[in-house]
Amino acid sequence: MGQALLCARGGVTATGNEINLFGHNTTASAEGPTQVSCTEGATFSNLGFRVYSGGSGTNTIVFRDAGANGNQTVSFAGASAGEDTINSDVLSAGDLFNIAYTDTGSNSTIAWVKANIQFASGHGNFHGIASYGGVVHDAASETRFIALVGAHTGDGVTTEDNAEWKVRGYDSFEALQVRVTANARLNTSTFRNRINGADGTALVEFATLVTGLVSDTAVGDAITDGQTVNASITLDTGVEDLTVVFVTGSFKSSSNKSETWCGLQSGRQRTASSTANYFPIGGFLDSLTATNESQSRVKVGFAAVVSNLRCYLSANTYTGNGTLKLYQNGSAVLTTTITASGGAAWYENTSDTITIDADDELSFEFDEGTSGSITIHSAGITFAPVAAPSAEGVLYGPRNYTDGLTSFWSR
Amino acid sequence: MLTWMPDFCPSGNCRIELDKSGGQVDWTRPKTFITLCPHHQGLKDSGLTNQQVFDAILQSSRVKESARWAVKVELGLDKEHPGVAYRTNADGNFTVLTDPASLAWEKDGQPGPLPTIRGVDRNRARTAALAAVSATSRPIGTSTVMVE
Repeated sequence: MGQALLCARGGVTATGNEINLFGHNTTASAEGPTQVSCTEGATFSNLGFRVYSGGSGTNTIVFRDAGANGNQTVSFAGASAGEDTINSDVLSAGDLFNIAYTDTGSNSTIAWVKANIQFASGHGNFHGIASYGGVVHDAASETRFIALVGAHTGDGVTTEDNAEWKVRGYDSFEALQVRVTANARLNTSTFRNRINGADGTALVEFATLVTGLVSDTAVGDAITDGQTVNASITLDTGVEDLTVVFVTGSFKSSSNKSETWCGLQSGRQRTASSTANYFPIGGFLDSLTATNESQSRVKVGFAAVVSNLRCYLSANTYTGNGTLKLYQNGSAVLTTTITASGGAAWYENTSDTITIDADDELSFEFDEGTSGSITIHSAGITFAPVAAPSAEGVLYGPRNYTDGLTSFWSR
Repeated sequence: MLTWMPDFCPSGNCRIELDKSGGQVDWTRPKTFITLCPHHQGLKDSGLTNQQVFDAILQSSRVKESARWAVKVELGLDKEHPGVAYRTNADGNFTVLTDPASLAWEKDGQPGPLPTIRGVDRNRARTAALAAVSATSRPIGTSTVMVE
């Protein structure tokens, strides 16, 4: 057992809004739509968030457990960041959780919200797509595809590749859950987990005119290294609305690995430029210029070996190589080359790794390309446990600290 | 294990296990009630069978959603509007809200479009919603719907 990272991209958030640790680009003004079922018993800790504009007063987030305040609270004034490093919340399987936001000044624009999670049994994490205001699905007699990351966009996507995430760390798809807040459909609507482009055994159905949260747990579908995961929705005849707030999956790793990625199933186009663009390592792949590197940095909260820096592009017409880089405390430490004219493909660095400690902060950078453009759907990394150090200490690779010092030795 | 947690209980949450077999979920009967909210527990305590309580919960969702959709269509709300607002009253009955403030929604971080909604439009929406509810099966224990 060990910790994993939950990370959502925020948006403009007003006092009284409710959010969660997935997605997202819209908030909710009521708690119910944001409540996700903790499909595994788990401990949540290190709740944190960053406000990068607005938030003129005191900005506060509180972890909510089954509709009541939990133990974790983060509060700070103005555009800044904070974390609750003391408290934790222990949830039983099936408990509902979400995040409540309040402020005493102007609305905040949130760069990210994050927490660590440790399953009570086994090692894993939750990954999901969310827009807490809800988005409408009404594509009649079709199957569409849904990514398990970022902002939920109406009707999903028609090209499954654009919704997929290539798994390196998990080996089991454990649960699928979907929240529907409006359902005018006159027949059954069906969600499934997808593994490598085929149906898994998870099945979430909403009967005619039924709303609420439906979860399929103890699924246990095997995933092998390099396979992809996502979800699908199949609607029957009729153009009535089905309003979906989130779709999340639960994953486990028998080798104590976990993953984080950011994404946007509809794609984010980046025109080649020598001006780099930065993103938090989880949640919604927002506009290219929303956050700079320091605003994008997320503290991971546990030591890990980081590997497999990768992204999926549905288009790549760059005339010169572009780059996806992982930043550690403000310095580039891993690079994945986005080969010129590489077209739709996964771009992955399968050879280089770095070791981070619990206080390290990570972000993603897209850069270069000469001319042309890419369309980004996801970018992420895999975390593996660090081998236990010997009594004499362990030699780590070069590490960059924000004070400019570099150290090779750590105990 | 497949569970349904309705989102319209007046307080607390019902959590209902449904049978999943043969690639389908059986929405005709409950497998087990994992928890019942105080309101629906009250229905059971009043003498309803598990099947009757389940039918009441299911049809309560259906009358609510029938009414909300009728209002959305009648008011001509934007295709992407996420759904007409409603509240669940303490007695488990629903009130569907048709005033412009309650219908406000967000699109791409901005207020989503709303048509002009006059009193006559609200009356027309109310009539359509109540007709939709009337056409929906309402077994004992089913919540009622009022349109404001």
